[in-house]
Amino acid sequence: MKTLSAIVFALFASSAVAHHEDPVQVASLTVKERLQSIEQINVTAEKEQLDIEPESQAVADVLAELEELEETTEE
Amino acid sequence: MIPSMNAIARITDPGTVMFSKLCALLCMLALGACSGTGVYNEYPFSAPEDVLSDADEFTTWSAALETHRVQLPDLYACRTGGYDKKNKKCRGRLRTFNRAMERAQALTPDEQIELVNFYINRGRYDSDHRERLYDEEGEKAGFQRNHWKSLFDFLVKGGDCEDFATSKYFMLRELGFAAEDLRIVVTWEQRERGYHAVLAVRRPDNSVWLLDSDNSVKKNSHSGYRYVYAMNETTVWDHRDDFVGQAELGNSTITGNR
Repeated sequence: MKTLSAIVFALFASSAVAHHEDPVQVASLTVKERLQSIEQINVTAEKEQLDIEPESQAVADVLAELEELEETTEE
Repeated sequence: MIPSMNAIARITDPGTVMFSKLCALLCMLALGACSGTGVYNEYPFSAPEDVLSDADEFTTWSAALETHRVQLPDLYACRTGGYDKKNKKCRGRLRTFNRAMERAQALTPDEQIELVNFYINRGRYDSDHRERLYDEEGEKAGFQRNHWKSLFDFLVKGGDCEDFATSKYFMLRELGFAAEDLRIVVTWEQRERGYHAVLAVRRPDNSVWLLDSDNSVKKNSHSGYRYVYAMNETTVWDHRDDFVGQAELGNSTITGNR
């Protein structure tokens, strides 16, 4: 009985020590797991572009220039 | 005008009172519905509890950052070389990119944001649902779910929504916007029933603009967005409900769940 009690006590003691050390290891595992789950997220939802104009005329002018340049580039 | 006795009797009639109460209730319900078709939730820039890790630990994103850094000279090579059809320095949209950067110098920061949003959104859409990976011997080695493109690769090859968001990030960084004011944010799109990426830009007045691939720049209403995670070149944030961030952990026991 004494032997059994000692064994049980030793098991609890080692478990307590291990549990105390667990948070750091669990934290690392949790961050890794979270990052892995993020890596699995497939980001592909496509949205239809709205037919809207820039608020700024200066921006609209630049975009028009770029569009013309792009057409020249493709020739 | 003094109401007649008959009018007063009608107003106080129990049936009329009940009808009025019902109308009032319906109006309140309607107003409640109209106050927001979804949840109004501005992107939470200041949410330290959502910090997950350094950007270095997000390996695929970290690789894209390094690729962008290495390709920077190639990005601007078109500026110095002349253009002809055989000039590979100016292939794809590299020529217009350099012109856009030149012209952007004369714009205000708000205009630069708008220019970048429209310019990048004109990029070629190229879905990369899964990218086949190959080992050193050219043998098939599985798939990579997401492949983050550098700005250079996007301008040459096109990309999908996350590449639109990352390209806007890189281009605004090249224009001098601070990394801490920019985040690539992955959201859940209820309408599209899929994950979608936008770029969040924090403005000097602490408002948050969301640059979307549909050409919109959402400045005041972020209704309907469910934020999943975000990153910039220094940090990764986890916005999912079941995440307990490092800021909240301290010395307490870690469960990983709320």
